[in-house]
Amino acid sequence: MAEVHIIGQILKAVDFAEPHLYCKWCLQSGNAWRLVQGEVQGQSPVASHRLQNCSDFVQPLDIHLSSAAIQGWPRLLVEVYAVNVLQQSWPVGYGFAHIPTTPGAHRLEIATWKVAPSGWWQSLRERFGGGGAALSKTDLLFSGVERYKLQTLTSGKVIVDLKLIFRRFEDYGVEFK
Amino acid sequence: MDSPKKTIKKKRKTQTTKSYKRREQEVQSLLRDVRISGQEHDSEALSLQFFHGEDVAEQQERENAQSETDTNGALESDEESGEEMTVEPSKSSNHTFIQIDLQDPPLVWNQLYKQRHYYDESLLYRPSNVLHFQLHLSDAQLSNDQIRMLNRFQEQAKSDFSKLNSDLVAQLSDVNPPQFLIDGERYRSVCHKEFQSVFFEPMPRELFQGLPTRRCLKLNLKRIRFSLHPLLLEEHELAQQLEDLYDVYSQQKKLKICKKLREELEIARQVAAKLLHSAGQDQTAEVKRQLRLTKQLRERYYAESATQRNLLKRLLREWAKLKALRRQQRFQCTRFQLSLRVTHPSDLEASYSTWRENFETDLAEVYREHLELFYCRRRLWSEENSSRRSTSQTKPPRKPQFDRIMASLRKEHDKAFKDPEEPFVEVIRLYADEASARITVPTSQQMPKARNYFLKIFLDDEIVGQTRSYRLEPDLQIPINECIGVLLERTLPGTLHIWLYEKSTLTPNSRRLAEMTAPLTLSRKDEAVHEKLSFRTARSSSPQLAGDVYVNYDYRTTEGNGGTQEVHALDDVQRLPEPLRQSLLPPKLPPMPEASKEFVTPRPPSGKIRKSNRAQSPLIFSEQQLQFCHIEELVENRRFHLLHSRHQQRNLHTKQLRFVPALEHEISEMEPLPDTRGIGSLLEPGTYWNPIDLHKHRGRKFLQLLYEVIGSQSARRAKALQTPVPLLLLAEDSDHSSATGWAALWRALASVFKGQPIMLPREPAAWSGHQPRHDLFQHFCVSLHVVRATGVPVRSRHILNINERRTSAGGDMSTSLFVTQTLMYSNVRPFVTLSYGQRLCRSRTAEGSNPTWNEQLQLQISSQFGDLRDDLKISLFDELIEQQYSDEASDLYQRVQCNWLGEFRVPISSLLASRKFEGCIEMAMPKVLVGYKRPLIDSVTNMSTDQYPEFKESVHLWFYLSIEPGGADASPLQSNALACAEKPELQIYLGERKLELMQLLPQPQRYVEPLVCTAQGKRVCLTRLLESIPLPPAVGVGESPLEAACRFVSLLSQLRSYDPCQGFRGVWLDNQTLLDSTWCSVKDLGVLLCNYMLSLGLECWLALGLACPHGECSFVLFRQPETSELFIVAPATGKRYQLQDVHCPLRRLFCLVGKQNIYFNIQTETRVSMTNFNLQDTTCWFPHFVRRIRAPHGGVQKLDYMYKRSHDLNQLQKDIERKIMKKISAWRTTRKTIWNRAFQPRLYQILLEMEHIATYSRGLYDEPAFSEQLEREYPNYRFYGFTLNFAYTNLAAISERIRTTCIHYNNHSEVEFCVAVHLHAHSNDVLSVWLFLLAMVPLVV
Repeated sequence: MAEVHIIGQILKAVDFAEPHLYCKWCLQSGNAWRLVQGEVQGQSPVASHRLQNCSDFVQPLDIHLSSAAIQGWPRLLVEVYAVNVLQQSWPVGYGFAHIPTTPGAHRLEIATWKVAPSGWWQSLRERFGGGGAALSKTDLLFSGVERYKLQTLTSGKVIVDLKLIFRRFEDYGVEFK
Repeated sequence: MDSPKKTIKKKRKTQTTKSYKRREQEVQSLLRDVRISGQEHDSEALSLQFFHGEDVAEQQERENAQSETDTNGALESDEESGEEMTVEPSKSSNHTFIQIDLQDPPLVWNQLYKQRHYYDESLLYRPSNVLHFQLHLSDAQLSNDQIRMLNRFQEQAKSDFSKLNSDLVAQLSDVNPPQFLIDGERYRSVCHKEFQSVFFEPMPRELFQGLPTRRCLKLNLKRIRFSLHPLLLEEHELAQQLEDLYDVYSQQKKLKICKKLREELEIARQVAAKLLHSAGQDQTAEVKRQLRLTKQLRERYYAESATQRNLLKRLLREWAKLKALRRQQRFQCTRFQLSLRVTHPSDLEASYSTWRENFETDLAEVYREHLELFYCRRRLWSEENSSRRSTSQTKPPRKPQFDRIMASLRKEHDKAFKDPEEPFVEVIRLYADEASARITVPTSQQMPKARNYFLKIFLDDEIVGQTRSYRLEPDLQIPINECIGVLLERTLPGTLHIWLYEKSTLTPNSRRLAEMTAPLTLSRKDEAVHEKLSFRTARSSSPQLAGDVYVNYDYRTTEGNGGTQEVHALDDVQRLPEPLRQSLLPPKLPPMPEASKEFVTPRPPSGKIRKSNRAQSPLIFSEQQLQFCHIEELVENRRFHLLHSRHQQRNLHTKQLRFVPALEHEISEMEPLPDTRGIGSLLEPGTYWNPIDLHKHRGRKFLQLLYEVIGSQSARRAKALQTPVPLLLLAEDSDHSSATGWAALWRALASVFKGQPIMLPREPAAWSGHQPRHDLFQHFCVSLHVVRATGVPVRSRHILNINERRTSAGGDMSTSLFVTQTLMYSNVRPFVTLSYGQRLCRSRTAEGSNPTWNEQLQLQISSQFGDLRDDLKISLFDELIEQQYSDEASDLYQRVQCNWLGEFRVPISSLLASRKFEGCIEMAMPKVLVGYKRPLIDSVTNMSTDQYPEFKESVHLWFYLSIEPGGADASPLQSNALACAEKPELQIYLGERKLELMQLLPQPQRYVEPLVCTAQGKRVCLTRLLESIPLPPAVGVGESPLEAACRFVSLLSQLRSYDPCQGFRGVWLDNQTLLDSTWCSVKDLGVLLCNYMLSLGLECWLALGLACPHGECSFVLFRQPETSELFIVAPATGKRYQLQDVHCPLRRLFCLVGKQNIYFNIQTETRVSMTNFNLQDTTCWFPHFVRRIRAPHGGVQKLDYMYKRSHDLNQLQKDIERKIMKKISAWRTTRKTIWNRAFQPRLYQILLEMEHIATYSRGLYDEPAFSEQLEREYPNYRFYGFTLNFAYTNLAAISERIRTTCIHYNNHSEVEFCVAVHLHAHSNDVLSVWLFLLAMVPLVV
């Protein structure tokens, strides 16, 4: 019955080509984990920056998990969406990162990717804000043998600040150094 | 290098100088014909090497080193090549050499001069020409050989932690070293190959040619066969099994064991006969031995022959199965073909006579053996008896009985040999050419893409070659037929590795799938070795593959070295005989230290992967083992509960909690935390729900959700098995309409002005298995043909008298009395109604207690398919016509009143599923029907009651009920796609048995799949469902637990919705799910009841079949322990029926499931009452598990289930009462309703006894005592009333029940009503509701 507190924020997204972005996130963990307090998924506001190529989400995270095993260590999945003038949105970045396994403050940089346009028409449309391809199954994000079939492009990074507090792991012989 | 060395060399005997060599060569060329000197040298070296291998090797080295120093140029080139090979030695250490031929190139390291001399990390010794240690007598210039030799010995000494023997050093470092050293110690060299000593026959020197050193390994890769592949069909499996069987068969045929045995047996018999003849009376030991030999031979012969016969039988059976399968699926995707050559015995007489002859000889022999045994025993017995005659007299051994011996022999004989009339069958495999074999694959199973595979071949971890890549054929085979020749020089590889690769279409790299290993063995003769290497991909990889690679290989000698002799020499190589080896070879050295062994593991072809293969054992990641604590503990933790509940802000108590203690034990035992999970989602806050209602409601929702989840899951799995789901869903399709074009722009502009939000595109909805058809309105037409009924209750005298009094107000009293007495039996005027929901239609009125209508009733229902939940009701009414007189005598009014007598409910879902019901049903009658009584039989006939079958306790109705259109087109639950928890062997076995069974079943729809889906969504065998489970607490202590259990089970609520999950192929609930939710389908009731009976220790079976109101459902067959009579229990009503009872609602019986076995009904008789229930009779019942395989047990039911106490009933009872009164008042819109509370206590009193009566007195439909009592007690009222009993589900169901009885349609102006409610609670909120409704009219006297 160990506990994990995840406190922090999804700070910003950098290096994306699109100016207006928002981010959907969720925290995923294994069977032996239970949520005690907090929200494990959410969506940030649409954010953009006038000067720099980044969007500040500043999405707070405060999650309290209880765990019965190390397996299924939680991980943070992010999906970054771009929004255009017509209020349409399409995904421009998928990525995930495991929550660090040491207590303390961490800054995660989640590198993201997006599905590459399948033809010149697609790429042209994407260029001019017509939307891109999305995954039909989001579990491809972190697993799936079918991932290799995808053709992807690198897109920007999502920066996450986390502070972790672990409790009662030492009762079960797990030490963090 | 020259001058000093030369001086040394000259002094030494064996060293040769350049000039000497040249001269020697000249001499040799002169003497070529004779070949004395060279040969002498060779043979001498050979013999030396044979016995003192190392010394000679050293010597050779010396020679070779010498030859290397011949020319500078040569040296340089050698050095160059040495550079290239610097890595070589450690790797090739396992390339071991059988023998060293002196003609071959030298065996020396080429890089001798450069290498440093240490133990490197591989612990291999590498010689160098610099001394490692200081020699005291360093004055003499040592040759390189000497240095190396010294080093070698020194290293050895170092490893033993001993000092180098000074004698040895002296000897070695001598300027003129001896040719041989005699040393007592032995020295180890690192080598992993275990050498096998060989033996040569002594032969003259001239003939000796040395050992053959070169061989050619011819490796023929025949084909790959996949036995596990995503594309694997049933046919493939069958064909592969058959192929394997055929291989065994053909091999046996080739070996001809039987024939050989037969011949040997004949010889042995003849010898025995001859010996017997010559020995005469006295049997010597020799004769006995011969006889024993004969016996053994005979037994062996029998056994062999029997196995061969069995094999042939099996082969034929499998082939028939394959053929049937091919015919059935209408395509063929394997090539395997067999042809049978059946030769009938040409001369039956002859075959009979030979058969008899054989049998008789065997019989005589066996009898003789038995006799001998008998005599022997008898002798022993008599001796024993004579030795101790006073003590217990043991029985004399019995004489063997000829008949019995003959019978047993006959049995064995029949098993082993064919009948004389039986034709001789020979099976030949046909290799059809491609054109004739039409191999097709159904379009639905077209391969997603052509897969290409190739093989890489390694000999002793060294790559030898690879095949071209081949495409996978539809029969899952890849014919390769490639031949790879490997020239082996002085080495024999130990193992053969073959790696299977899949060529990827995307990338140039190919994926390695599996690895096979086989030891290479030397074939004895010229024959090639045939090998079948099976492979299996790693468990993690998907898709899983397995299969076999067919390889054959043989060793050949190389050509050119002079054919026949060489072959001869190859064959001559034989192992050194054991005694010789012991005397010639030194005993084994002690084993190497461990560390070095590990280091020198041979280099794998590509490092990493192989190393992981060699790891001790794969690490199994077991979640349970590595858990800190149980997850239950996590879920039940109070602190987490508090925190979570506070976070959700739903609960008033926890909402405002400021402080939650950080430690578990600090939480005080406050008030129990109200459970807020679930309620919020089901109910809107604010409504008050009775906890029992809540329980029922949640249970039903849970079960519906479970059905839905499993249904969609299985549909998805089935779909996924058929078609690959598209991975990417491009936004293109959706965008064309909304995103591009002017319309979109316009809309965007409009949205700017209007400020109307545009929905962001959501993620595409997951694929759902819903059929849209379910939402459509449909018209159904239910038609009921009622024929007749028997045993309808008649009006009691009370009602009658009133009528009479009324009618005979002015008439003749005596005549009317006469009429009533004669017509008393037929004073009831029943009619039948068919109703569904609000709709109703009725038949005409018939007369009497055994009415005949013969009428067709039709009811139109238009409803959504999914909303068909209610019951279709067939109700029986009595039409009561009252004459009413106004004040004027001329006006005559008639008041018609319909009194409800009983009903029969058909769930419309089961009617939809089975489309029609027909035959005779038993109406559900109220237990107490005030104002009516059972028809008096003695008033009609003189026969006694029990002889007149139709006048028993119940009311029967003959009818035919059908619905158009049926719902059978709704797709059944595809539970086949779900994961199966049984072992694959068992699955295969069940599949085989199914094929056998299908041929025996008279109707194919009788087949019930033995693998059923549980509430966990896994498929298990049916027998696992049966297990003794804890009884409900009230049942356990009662006086007759069986009845109580039946009653309890019948009170569980049945889910009424048209759902494929309710059938046999649907979901089978375990006791926990069922009892927690108290909702189930009818078949689950049977399982539960059967389990209760098992825990009561009764012998019982689950009978699966079709029943009248429920369609596919399960009954329970059990044996009464006292009378050992079999009974069938209907779990939905709790009634029991005798097997011969024609009124039993079970109409068709498919199979009986016991704990040990499943018996399928293969009788052509379909009526249950005529079915033979002798399960041992294999012509009537087909046991699904035969002795070889046991039915699996357990694992589904929860064995330590704890029943919960029911909630408080007082409130609910009041609610029900209030609801009924409110409803009846509401329904009687035009008249006011008077409630008479005076009768309530009396009615309540009656109800209190009813539950007990209903449980323990089975059968009787009314309790006349009560109604008569009531009438007697209150003579001033005219009563009509009844009790209703059903399981509680919700209030709406109760009001629906009351509405169908139409008791509120009483138009009498003075009618008063009374209602009494009694609830009887079993555990787990299983409630039985008893209602007493009474309508009374006060009599004006």
